[in-house]
Amino acid sequence: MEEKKQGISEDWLSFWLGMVVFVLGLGYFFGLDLLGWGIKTSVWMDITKALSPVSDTFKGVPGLTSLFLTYLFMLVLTEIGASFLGVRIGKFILAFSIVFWIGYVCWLCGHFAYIAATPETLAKFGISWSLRLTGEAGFIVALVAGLIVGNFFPGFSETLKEATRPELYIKTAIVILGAGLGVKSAEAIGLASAVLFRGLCAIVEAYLIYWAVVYFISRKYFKFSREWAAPLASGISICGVSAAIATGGAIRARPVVPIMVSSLVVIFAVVELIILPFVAQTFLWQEPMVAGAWMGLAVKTDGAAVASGAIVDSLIRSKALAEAGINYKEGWMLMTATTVKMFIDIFIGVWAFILAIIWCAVIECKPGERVRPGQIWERFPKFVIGYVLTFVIMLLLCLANPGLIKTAKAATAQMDTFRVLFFVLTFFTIGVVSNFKKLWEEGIGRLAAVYILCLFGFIIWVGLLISWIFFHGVTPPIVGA
Amino acid sequence: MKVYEVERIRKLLGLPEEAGNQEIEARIAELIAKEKPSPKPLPPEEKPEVPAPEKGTLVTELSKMEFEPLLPVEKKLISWSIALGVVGLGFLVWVSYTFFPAGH
Repeated sequence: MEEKKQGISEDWLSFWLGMVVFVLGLGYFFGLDLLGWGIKTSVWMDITKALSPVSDTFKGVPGLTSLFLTYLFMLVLTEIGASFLGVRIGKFILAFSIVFWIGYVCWLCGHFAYIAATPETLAKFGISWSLRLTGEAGFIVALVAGLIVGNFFPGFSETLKEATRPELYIKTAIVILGAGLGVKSAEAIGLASAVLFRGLCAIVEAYLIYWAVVYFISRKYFKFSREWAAPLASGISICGVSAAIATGGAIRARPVVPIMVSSLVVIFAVVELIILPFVAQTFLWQEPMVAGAWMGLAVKTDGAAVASGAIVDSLIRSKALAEAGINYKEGWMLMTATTVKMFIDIFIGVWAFILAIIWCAVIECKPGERVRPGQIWERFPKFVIGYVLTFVIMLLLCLANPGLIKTAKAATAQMDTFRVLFFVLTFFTIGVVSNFKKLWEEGIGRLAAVYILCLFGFIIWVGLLISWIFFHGVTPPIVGA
Repeated sequence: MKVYEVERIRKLLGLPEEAGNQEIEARIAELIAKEKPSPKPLPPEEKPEVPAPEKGTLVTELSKMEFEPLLPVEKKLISWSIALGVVGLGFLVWVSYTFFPAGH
């Protein structure tokens, strides 16, 4: 059932890609502006003013040159990485180039003033209204573009296959994200500690409560066998694809079972990504940290959960500014969603080990079966190591030398240029891989019914309740305070 | 298979005389597993290969699924898990309010 592939895994690759960007960004501390030529995209009415290098050191460089250099850097970086994955390089170059440029055009469109401008900037752009979605609307544009490509242009999707790797891109982005969050945490260590603790609590919810309830419902009311119910419970309650596959392996299910569960997980994660951030903006804009934690608990793949956190962060900040004049600091809701999701992820290996022991000891043991503790490390998501490393390094650096915080912010702003672009690639490719025709596949009704009942009938609301208990009344730091 | 052949196999496997066919099969399976190292699990995001005979549609897979009533041990697993989870969460809420006041 499980074969060793050649080359390194996407998990390790995302670790190394993220660390390359992080290390290059650290050059700023030594007076080396190694990433300052990266592209910065601004909200625009006049498109010629939308593009510029992120660092003032390179302000003489035209925007288009900066954009092209950014494309070249990301192409070379991901191409070298892809060669370690064993992909076909020529096809990867073509596919990545198309994915990058479509993604970037979407990102640029999302920065159009009528879409992105916030109320205090309307006069500056000479307009009387806007959708007030902030520049992060570009993520939604990229997602929609990906959904159109994936669902209506299958031949074109096939051309993009080698570079359609949403999990690789989001994991690389998360490694880079750790650095920026480390700097933020140094400025508000009390709140950061609370967020980290909340992440720990999510483990108890997801594994002990959600998993058990979903398993019970699938076995008792939908009459699924153990082979189906266990991966389904993991896919719905823990972490989507990885958890379903790990659980399938732990209980020795046939490979076809977690594969079929996984395909449904991806589709529903995209549905959540489209709906939940806007629900959070409407009802939770006065409870921003509750909204962030809710995204991490409710959305069931890494890519979609972190993406939801990013969208919620920008939507709620925009609404709080428009409705109440409160300008929250960027990134805290995203940090909460990401931290909650990471803590859930790191326990997948432990849970798979526990299930393997329980299955072998008391439920059914296949001849010759052995449970190996080594599985815990083998299933540990390695990119989390990168996230923790970049987070801890920047946190300790800033705590030890508070005078360095300003430099650290500038350095991480440059790293963020690439983090954002990896996010854009994630949104676009999530859309491409989400094949909604699956929902019409014969037989999907029963699986989808369990999913809808458990996720939308229980998990989302219990997650909201518990996020409320932990975080109601808590707000991110305010700009200028 | 003749009786004396089964006895010979039983002796070669180091099993006692009273060992039945099930024990013989289990012992053979153990030895095969020892000879072939278990394949390493794939990293989290990589999907396992589905052997060709197992590829099929969802509806055929679900139609082949046999009904298995909930075992007492499964009911215990579910109830203990939920109970531990609720108690654990209650404790963690207390810890959060007591030791992380900046979060409230």
